Amino acid sequence: MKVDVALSLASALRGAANKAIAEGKDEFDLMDALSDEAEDARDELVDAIQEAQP
Amino acid sequence: MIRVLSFSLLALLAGCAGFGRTEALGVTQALIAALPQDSAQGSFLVGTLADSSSFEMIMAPVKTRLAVVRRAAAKALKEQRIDVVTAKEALRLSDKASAKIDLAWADKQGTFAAKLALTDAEDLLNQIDTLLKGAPK
Repeated sequence: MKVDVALSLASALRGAANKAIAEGKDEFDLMDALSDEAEDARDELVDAIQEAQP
Repeated sequence: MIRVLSFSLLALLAGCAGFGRTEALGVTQALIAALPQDSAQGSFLVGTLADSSSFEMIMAPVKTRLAVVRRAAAKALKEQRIDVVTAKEALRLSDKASAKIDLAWADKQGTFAAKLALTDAEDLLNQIDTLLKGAPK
């Protein structure tokens, strides 16, 4: 595993845990959290493509 | 807390069994470093990891890599290291990889079909890496 992937995984877990705590939940679904992360990244890429297009 | 942590590390290392020892230790260290400093939050996160199945821990790095390559493609486009055509190709490949990951997860049992879908996803992500590597730094 590459270091950037390991750090990103750790960051996603921490973010999901903090979000769950803020929402008063005592657990979260790992795959759902990573799906949200992948969707956010997709939105970033789509936005960048739209901005770059003339 | 220490017992929970030990159990979690064993679960993590078991989940990373498909990777090399260095990789397994790397991800474990990264996850420990990411634990919130507040002890309650730390226990919460450690407990969550302990609950994860080993197949989840095999899938998690692949799913995370999907986000990483998408962000890398967006960054490369913003910095004009790749053009729009290349970025669109990265998006297309990442969507295919995402579908393969979903297919693997739908199985959940870690069957041969699920592992094959995961391998396909990794191949697609490697293709995006290759696309981005062609871009000047």
